[in-house]
Amino acid sequence: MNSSLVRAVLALSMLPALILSCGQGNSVQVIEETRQLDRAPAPPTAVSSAERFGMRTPAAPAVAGSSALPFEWSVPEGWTEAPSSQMRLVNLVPGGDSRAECYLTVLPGSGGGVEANVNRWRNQMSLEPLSAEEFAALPKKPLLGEEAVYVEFDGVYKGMSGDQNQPDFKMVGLILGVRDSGVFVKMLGPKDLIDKELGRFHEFCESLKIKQAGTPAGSASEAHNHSEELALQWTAPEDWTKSPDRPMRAVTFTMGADGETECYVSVFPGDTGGLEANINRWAGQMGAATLDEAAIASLPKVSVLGEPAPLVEFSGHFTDTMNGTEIADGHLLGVVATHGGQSIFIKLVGPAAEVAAQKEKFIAFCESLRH
Amino acid sequence: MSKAIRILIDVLGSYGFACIIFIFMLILTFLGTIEQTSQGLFDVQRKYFESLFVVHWAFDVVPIPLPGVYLLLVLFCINLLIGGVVRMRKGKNTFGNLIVHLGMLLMILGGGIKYWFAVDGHMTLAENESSSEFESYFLWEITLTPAGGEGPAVQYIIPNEEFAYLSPDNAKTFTHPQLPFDLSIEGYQRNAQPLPVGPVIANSVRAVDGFFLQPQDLMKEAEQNVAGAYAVVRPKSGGDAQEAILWGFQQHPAAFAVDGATWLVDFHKKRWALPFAITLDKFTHELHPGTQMARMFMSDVTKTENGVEQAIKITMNEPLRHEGYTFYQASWQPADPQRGIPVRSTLAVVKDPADRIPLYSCIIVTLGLTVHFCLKLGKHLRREGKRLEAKRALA
Repeated sequence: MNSSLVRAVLALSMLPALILSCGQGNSVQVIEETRQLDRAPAPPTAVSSAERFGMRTPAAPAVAGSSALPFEWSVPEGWTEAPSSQMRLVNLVPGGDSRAECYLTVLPGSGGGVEANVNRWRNQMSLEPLSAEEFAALPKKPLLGEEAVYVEFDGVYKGMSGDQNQPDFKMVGLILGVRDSGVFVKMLGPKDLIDKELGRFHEFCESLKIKQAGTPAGSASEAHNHSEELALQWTAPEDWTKSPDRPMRAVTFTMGADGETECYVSVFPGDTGGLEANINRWAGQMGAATLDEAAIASLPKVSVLGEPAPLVEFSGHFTDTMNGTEIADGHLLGVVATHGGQSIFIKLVGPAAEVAAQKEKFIAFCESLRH
Repeated sequence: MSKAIRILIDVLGSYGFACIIFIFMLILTFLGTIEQTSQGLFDVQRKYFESLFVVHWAFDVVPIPLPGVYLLLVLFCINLLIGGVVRMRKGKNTFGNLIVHLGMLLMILGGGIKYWFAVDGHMTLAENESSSEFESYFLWEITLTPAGGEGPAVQYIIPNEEFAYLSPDNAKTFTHPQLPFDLSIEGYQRNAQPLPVGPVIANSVRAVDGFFLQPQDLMKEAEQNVAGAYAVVRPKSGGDAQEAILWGFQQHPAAFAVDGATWLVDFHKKRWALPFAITLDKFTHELHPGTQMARMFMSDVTKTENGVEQAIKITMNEPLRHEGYTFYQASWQPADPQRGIPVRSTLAVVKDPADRIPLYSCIIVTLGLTVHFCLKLGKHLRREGKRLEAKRALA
């Protein structure tokens, strides 16, 4: 018995070595499996990689003021433009040197706030995060008519995924938080190159502007605006007051005694993270419980541009982490629609009583959108 | 029979060998259960239970080579056959044990048949949609299809097992006498996302048409991984090589022009054709009141085979069984009005030739245990009877 046991253990222990010694397979393989199709597929029309992966087709290199985007800008002397993408609405090559990059990104939602994003950039540069005091002391520079936080970091660039190691790099950027959106302008590359192009970076940032909206026509109860992407028009209630143009908004209205209640429309390219993510971003702003897919599917619908879009309501303490706005006992009405590859956000937020009084008008406003 | 073979048979059929196998199985079951909390069921199953050999890293530092459960089951099968059937003393007293051992062998055989021959996947349909194929949760395939032309065409298929073991650093070339090119699969990633390159990123990644494959962390639920790879087509006539990125969620195949013809290279979950079609007529689902938990969901379907239609109801506990395929009501996908996607029912589809073997095996084992119990009980009662008689006689 004992000798049998010993032999058994020895036999088992030899097996791994035997298995490991087997080859990994051939590097060239003949395909063996086939399938008969009744008919060959039709030759495809030319499809780019961006379209194959369901991303917005990169725009052709654009001159300043591309008609496809809500911005206009000037390309600094000596800089070249690269194809834009869903994440890089403006994509430039500083000094025409491919070692550097400069781009503009707009993301819906606060993404954790300006401070969190500054520290995210610092992490990419292998730097420790800033304290609250250090963050508050960061300089401000104008961007799109607002004050944006300006940063300038030297360090080892380790990339967005932490898989790079580029010493002696410099990152400069501006981060602007407006309601419901984050605007990021960033330039990155070898330190000596970025130092040389810093002046032109500031020129580019100063040249960035939101394209002019169409002027109102007709009665005060009817306000028209043209988003370059969708050429949106709408009919606003008479007691809504149109506010001055804001970055990343097609239109903004205020209402109520103090004008504290606000309704605005934003349009972004692509699906911006999807319906569930955006609805739950609003839930987070209101301190409300998030909704799962089934709950979102059962939400009431309003018709926006001829298609049903979910109408969501949240009550609670409204906090906008990007600009610090707070409304105790707040209420939010929101609609997320998609049309023509664009995501349309229509949001009304304010004190609960005022929002409740505006609900029917909000729904009528949403359904009045046309293009 | 030579002495060496006799010794080998002694070892393989010994009680001690069986004990060693059980100890290893216990260890592997424990390790696999612990690792499943972080790695997910699919990967742990492949690592511990479907392998001949596994290396467990104790404290992430010390490598411990162990036999895999697949190997242990093969050895146990041999052990049970030699020691539990062939060499077992045959008689009234061991008849029940023999039946139990045969039942256990049938169970292991059923497991082997399932492992080697079963396929499983899912079919997801919206109301009024039909399909005559189902696709895998985990396995991918690469297909090469000639585009254009009249009449039927031959599609070449590279199955999952031919490329899924590749790492990002190695490549494999596929060829066929009827293909005008060779296809190399390079830089394979189990979970990846194509991203546009920028001027800085272009210096350090492999870019094709302005995109590169960004590796992603593996998901614990293996079916959520979306694989990707670089495909390089090299014409046999000597033309320039062409490249494209293949990605599991690509919305269009990659197209290559070779010798004046267009070839489509697609990358998607492995599909199996069914000998019949299923049409979802109505999907019903109810939630427990006040919750988002499903109380019941059910699909009313029509099975169409050779022009004959049959209405069938599929619920969670009442699957459809036909032609060796079993359709279970597995889950459902909520509607996404923004994308024009309606509610969809997901049916799990399994084709398992050994579907009923576990049932038969359990019946046989139960029968064997019952026989053994009855025989032992009878023997005990007879012995007790004799003892009592002897006691009375003495008294």
